[in-house]
Amino acid sequence: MKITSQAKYFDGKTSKPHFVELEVFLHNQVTFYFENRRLVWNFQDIKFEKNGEILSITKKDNLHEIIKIENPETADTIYKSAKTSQNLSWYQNILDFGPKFYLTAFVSVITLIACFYIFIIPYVSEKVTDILPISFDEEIGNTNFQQIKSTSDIDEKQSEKLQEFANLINFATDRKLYFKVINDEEVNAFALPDGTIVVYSGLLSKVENPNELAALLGHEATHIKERHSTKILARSIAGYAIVSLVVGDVNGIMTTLANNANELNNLSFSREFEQSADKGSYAILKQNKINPEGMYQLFKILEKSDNLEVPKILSTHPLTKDRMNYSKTLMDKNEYSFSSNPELQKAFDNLKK
Amino acid sequence: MKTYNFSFKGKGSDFFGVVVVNWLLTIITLGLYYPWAKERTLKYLYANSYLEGDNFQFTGTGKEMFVGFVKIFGIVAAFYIGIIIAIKTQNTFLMGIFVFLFYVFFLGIIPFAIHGFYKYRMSRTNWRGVRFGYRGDRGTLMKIYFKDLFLTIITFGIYSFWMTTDLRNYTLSNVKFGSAEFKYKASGSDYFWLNFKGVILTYITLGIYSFWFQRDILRFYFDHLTLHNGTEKVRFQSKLSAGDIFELLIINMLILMFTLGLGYAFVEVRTLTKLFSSLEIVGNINLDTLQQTEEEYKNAFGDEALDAMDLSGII
Repeated sequence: MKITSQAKYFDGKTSKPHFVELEVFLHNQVTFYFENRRLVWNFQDIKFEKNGEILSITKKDNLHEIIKIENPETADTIYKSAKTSQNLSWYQNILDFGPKFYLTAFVSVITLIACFYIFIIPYVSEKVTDILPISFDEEIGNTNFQQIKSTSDIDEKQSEKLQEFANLINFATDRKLYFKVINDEEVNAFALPDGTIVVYSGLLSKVENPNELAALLGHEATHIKERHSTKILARSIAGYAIVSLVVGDVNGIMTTLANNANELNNLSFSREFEQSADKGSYAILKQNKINPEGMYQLFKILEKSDNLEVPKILSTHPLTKDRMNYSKTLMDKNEYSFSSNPELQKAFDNLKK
Repeated sequence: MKTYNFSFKGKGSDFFGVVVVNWLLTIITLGLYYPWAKERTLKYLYANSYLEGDNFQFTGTGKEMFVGFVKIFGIVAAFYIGIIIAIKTQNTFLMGIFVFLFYVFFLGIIPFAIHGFYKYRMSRTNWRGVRFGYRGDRGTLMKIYFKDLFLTIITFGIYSFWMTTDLRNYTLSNVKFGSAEFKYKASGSDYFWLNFKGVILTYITLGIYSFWFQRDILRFYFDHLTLHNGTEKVRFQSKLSAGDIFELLIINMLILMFTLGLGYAFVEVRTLTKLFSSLEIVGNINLDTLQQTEEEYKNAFGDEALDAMDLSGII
């Protein structure tokens, strides 16, 4: 079948539009006269692109030679004929599925991402952590510790005493734990994946009995036992990877990787991991027959030093109030009997001297 | 004198289709589709930009951009591996060298990337089949860049306004539209005072002035631009008012907020439509007489390098 149509032709040499009479043999070829020559464009040598109602036809080997058909009906007929004769690119065909397709595709993309976030990333990071040898944790932790060492003031004497105190507690782990005291006013403590537990002197000075200190060390030791740092690292890299993919910003992944390597010690644990560490701390107290009230009192100290409380949803740490309630319920359970441990008390007094 | 018709005719729903298909394919290919996604996006945006009833065309390909992407990725990965090795072996000296080289590379590649970006992007842009082009000289651009970078550093950043205008004066004045050529002539001190005034008034008015500030910046971008063809000339003027910007930004923000960012396609289309329609182009060039004078250029390294460093905004 043949149709004829008015069209604009650009010859790729100047911007002057040439008005030509187009003869289109559907499914086959486009021909027209230009400067007294008959030009023949076969369907398989040309590209069809529809923009709004205008159809642009370009030669595949010279995209600067363009035919434009502005009559909507003719444009549509030619486009359809290109489609049925399979001369459209796969991409045009996908786009032609229309809004219904986009919406379905869109919903599936969102569902896919949500599944990734909620189920797959935590699962994968758990598995990846299982596969990674402990030496990985040790290496990262050690690199971090070297950095911390160079920027902070480690009190070797106090560290030794803290280590002595901790040695009296059974943390129920094969991992070697190293205890360090850093001279710093901040009321804080943290655990590095290589087994180093750092307590700031600011927090140490506020702790009043061995039970509180044991609860604190138990909490930090649980972070190490359960490899929370490594899990968080795996999660955040996987999470960033997904986000970058979706946004089409693959380059962003490189930046993320670089940032993560440097900012390991700034990674905060999620609330989930903090709760798990509180639980682990309780188990350690129980095993060592230490008064669980220590945990409650510890949170009281933290509460006092928290002058500004972030609403729960924004905070990575569970709210101290919630943690106090949690420890109170544990305490009220009266699950086990405890006795004061003179050895532990002695080591504690020595530390507080 | 005549006023030229310039408009963006894209539709949010159509562009949304392009964006969603890009997302889908990018996820399925684990990101490798990225350069092709960029091609599709640019093609759509160009094809819906109309000047005097005819649209622009982007003829770059995902393949070209993929090659550029692989090059820049390779370089950055090499640095990254070097730094990791240095960290692992705890070799602070080696680490220092790598980090230093990385910064030098980062700063040094910018003029290369800008040059490459213009060469590639312009050669891949055409209107009625007539290519744009970039005739700037890389050496000259490097000289301007490093001289101004030095002055910017020793003036604690103040000179950056002169740097911006110097770079823009040079690059834009070397852009060709077939046989016609663009000229950009702006003064650094004007740009400095514009920013100075803008920042101070924005503070004093608790941010309200920022809409006028944005308007002035846009005006500064366009109002110093002209197109020449022999003795004929066309000038550009942004007619976007502070009210327009306010409306544009507020509604864009609401769309993004309520769609959790998914309405990005609609925001982009709205913005371009408004921006194009408020650009006044007046002059006496006969746009039917442009000749094909510019060569093709296939190296997309600069384009991708700017993308990788998130610096596309400096153009």
